[in-house]
Amino acid sequence: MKTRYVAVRLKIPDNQAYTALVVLQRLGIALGQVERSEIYEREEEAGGAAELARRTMRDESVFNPNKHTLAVLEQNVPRTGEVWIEECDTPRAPNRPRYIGWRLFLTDGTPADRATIEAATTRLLCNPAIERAIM
Amino acid sequence: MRPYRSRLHRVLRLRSVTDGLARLALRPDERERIAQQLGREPTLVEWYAFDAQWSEHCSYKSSRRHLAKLPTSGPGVILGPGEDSGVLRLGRRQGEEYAIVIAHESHNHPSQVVPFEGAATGIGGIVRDVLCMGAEVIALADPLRFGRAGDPNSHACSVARGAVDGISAYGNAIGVPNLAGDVYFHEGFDENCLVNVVALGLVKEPEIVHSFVPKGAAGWAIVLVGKATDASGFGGASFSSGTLDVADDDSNKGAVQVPDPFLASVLMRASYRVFAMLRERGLVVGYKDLGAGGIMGCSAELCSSGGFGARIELDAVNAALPGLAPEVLAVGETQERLCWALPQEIVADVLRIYNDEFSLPQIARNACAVVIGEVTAEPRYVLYHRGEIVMDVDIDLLTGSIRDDLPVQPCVARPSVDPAIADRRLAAVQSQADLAASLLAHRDVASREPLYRRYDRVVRGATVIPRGVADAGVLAPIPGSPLGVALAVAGNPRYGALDAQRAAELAVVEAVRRVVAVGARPIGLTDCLNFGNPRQPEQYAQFLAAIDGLSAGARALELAFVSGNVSFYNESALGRAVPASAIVACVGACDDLSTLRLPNVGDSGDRLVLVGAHAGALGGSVAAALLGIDEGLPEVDLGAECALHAQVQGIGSCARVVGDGGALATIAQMLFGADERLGVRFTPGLALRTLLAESNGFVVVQPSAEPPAGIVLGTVTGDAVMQFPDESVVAVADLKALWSASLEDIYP
Repeated sequence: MKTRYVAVRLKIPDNQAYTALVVLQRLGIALGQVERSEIYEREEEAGGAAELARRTMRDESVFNPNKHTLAVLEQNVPRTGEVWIEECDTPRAPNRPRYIGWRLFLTDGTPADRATIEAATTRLLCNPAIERAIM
Repeated sequence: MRPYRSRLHRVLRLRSVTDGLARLALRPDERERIAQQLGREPTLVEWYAFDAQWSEHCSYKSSRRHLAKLPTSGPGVILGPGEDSGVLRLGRRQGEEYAIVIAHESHNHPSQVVPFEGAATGIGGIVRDVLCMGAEVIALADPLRFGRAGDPNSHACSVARGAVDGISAYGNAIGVPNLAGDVYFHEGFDENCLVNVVALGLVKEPEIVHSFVPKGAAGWAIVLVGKATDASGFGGASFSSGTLDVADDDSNKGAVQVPDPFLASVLMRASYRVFAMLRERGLVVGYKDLGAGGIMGCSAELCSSGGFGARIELDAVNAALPGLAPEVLAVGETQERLCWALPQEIVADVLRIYNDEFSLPQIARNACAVVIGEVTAEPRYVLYHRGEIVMDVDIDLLTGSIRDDLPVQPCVARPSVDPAIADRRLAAVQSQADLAASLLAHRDVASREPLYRRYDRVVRGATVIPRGVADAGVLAPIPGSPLGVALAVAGNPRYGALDAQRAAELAVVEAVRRVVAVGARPIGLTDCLNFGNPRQPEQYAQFLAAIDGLSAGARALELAFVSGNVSFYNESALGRAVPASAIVACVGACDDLSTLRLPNVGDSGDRLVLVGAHAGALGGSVAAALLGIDEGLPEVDLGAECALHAQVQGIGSCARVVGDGGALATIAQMLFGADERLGVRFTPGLALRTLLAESNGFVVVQPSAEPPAGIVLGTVTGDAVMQFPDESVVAVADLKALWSASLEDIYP
C-alpha cells in the first residue's frame, strides 16, 4: 500500500476562498484567484489512483458529487502555487482533512511564486501558534 | 452518493434532445394556455418566468383552494397568510403594541441534494421572510425528519449530519438563537429528508412593512439588495444554460444554493437601519424576500399584490459573472437578496445605507443595493435586456391565474385491529424496567442534546427557557419588559404514516400543549405540509385529509394559522412518498415571565399525576414500534382540550406534555433534570398501557396533600430509581446514560 493525497475542492462558490482572496488583496498581495482544497491522506490499494478516487467519492463524509470535485495528487507535496496548512496537535482521523490547501494564482492566471505564497502564508493563511505551513 | 437526479430531471434531459424547451416543468396544457393568453409564442425568458411562477412552489396551484379551509383570522391575528410572514399580537408595553412575525417554510429537496448548503439556505430564506416585514429576527426553530441513520456511512446519516451542521452554521453566524425544534428518524425519509424551518421576528404593530407596493406607488423605484446574481439555484430552468447541460456534475448546479450567512447578517443590520429611517420619515413602502422565481418572481409579486405592474432592466442587475443569460438573471435563485419598492426621493439614502454605511460591496463579490426598475401603473410585467424587451406579459396572468383541480381518491380506512392482540403483547413484557431502557434509547425519544448543542440557543441574551429544557422555548424579546414569547413545534411521522388527518389534528394539539406546559398563552399557529405527489390521487387525498385535521384542531382551540407552506413531491424515484407530515408550530405569549413554569419533578413524596383523557391507544407510539403492536391512533377529545389547558394552567406546579415514549418517558426526563437525587415508585397495578400511550395530556406534579387532578401514576421518591408496577427496578442514572447516548453516533 502506498500513501496518496486526495484534494477535495468545492465546485460551487467558495466563500472562504473568496474572503481569503479579498483580504490578501487588501494586504497588498496581488492575486487574481484563490482556491481552497481539503487534502486527505489515503492508502492506495489495488486499482491505483482511479480506484482510490472512486473509493473516496463513495465516502459521503468527504465528498458530495453535487458540490465537490476530487483529484488524486500526482505527488504528496503541494502543487505549484500551493501551500498546505496543518493544524498542530490535532488527532488524525480518516474523515478529517490532513491539510487545508490554498492555491494562489496571480492576476494573469499563473500560479503564484514562492515569495508571494510565503507572504500570503505569513500574513494570513497560517497561524504559527497552532498551525504549520508546508510549501 | 450518486449525483442528484430527480425523476423530472431525467425525463426532461431525455426530451431536451428534440425539444429545446423540454426542460421546463410546465405541462403541455399549461404551455398552450400561456401561448393562447399571450396571443403569440412566448419568448425564452417568458417561458422560464411562467415555468417558475406557475410551479407548485410559487403558485400553490394544487393546494390554495383547500388551504382556505384553515382558520386564518381571530382576535390575536394582525396579519394572516398572504404575505411573506404572518403577524400575531404579542402585547402592550409602555403604550406600544408589539407583534410577533412568524414564517414557516421547507427546504426539503435542496437539503437532500446538498445537506449543508440546502439546510443553511433554508435558514437564510426564512430569516429574510421575517426580516422583510420590518421585524427584528429573534428566533429560529427547525423541525427535521431524517431517514434511518443507523449506519454512520449511510446517505441518510450524511444528510442528518450535514443538514444540522448547515442550520447551525447559518443560524449561529447571523446571531439568532435556535429556540425550538424536533427530529425524527423514519424509513419513510430515507430518500427524502424534511428540513422545515421557522423564524420569529419582533415588530411594533404600526411599523410592519408589507410585501406589496402601496397605493400611489406608480413610478417608484424597484431596488435590488444583496448578493450578486449568479446561476446558482436556477432550478429546473437552469438546464438550458450552456454551462449546465454538458456534464452530470454541472447539471446539478441548479439544485445547489450557496449560503453566505455573513452577508446575510450585514443585510439584516442594514435593513434595520433602513426601517429606522422609514419610521423617522413616516413612509410606507414595499419589501420582499427573493425566493423562488428570483428577481422576476419577487418583483412581479411585490407589484401585482398592490395592483401595479413593473418594468425591470436586467442590465442593471449586479451580476456575479458577465454575460449571464437574461433568463438566468431574471429567474435564478441566488441567495441573500431582497427587493424594495421605494419612492424616488429616498432611493439615494437607501443605497447609501447599504453600499456605504454597511459596505455591501466590500462584504461579498459584487454585492450591493441597486435600482433595477420601476413600478408601473399599467399591470404588465416587462423585462428589458440589452435594450430589447425580452418579456412583456399581463402581470396577473403571471402571478395569479393558475389553478389545478386534481382528482382525489379517498383515504383508505385502516382495518380495525383487535385490541386483545396488543394486550397480549403488553402482558408478555418480561420486565417493564427493560422496556423503559429500550424506550428511552429509541431515537425518537432519546435526548436531542447531541443535535441542538451545535446551535447557539442563547445568543442575543434574551433566552429565558432555552431549547431542550422544557416543552417549549421562551424568549424575553423586549428588554426590560415582562412580556415573553414561547415557541414549540410538533408533527409525528409515525402517526402520519397511519392516518394523515388524525396526525395533523394531533400535531396541532401537541404543539399547543407544549406552549401551555411552560405557562404561556397560545396565540397562533403555522404549518408546513410536507407530502408526496399531488397528482397521485391517494397522496393528494392524504394532503386534503391533513388540512381537515389541522382545521379541526385549530378551530377547537380557537387559534388561527397565520403563515405556512406546502411542499409536494417529497417522493422517491420509485414513487414512495414520505409519511404524511403536517408539521405545526405554535406561538405563545406570556404577559409576565415570572409566571412561567420550568420543568421539575417536585420533591420526595409528591405525586405524578396524569391529566387529560386517557384512552390508552398505542397506535403509532414508540412502544408500539418496539413491541410490534398495531393499533389505531389515539383519539383526542378536541372539545375538552381548552378545559384541559385551563386545568393545567390552574395547577401551579410543573406540567410536562406526554409525547414520544408516553408518560413513562416524560417522567424519566423529569427525573433526569433532578441531578439523580430523585426517583419514582409507580402506582402498583397501574396499567402499562397508561404509561406508554402518547397522547394522554400532561404529567403534573402535585403535593400529596392535594386531591389528585387525574390518574396518579406514581410517587416521587428519594432513592434515584424507577420502580415499576411489575416490581422491576432500574437506576435513573442508567436510564439517563442510555437516553443521552443514543444520538451520539450521528452527532458526535
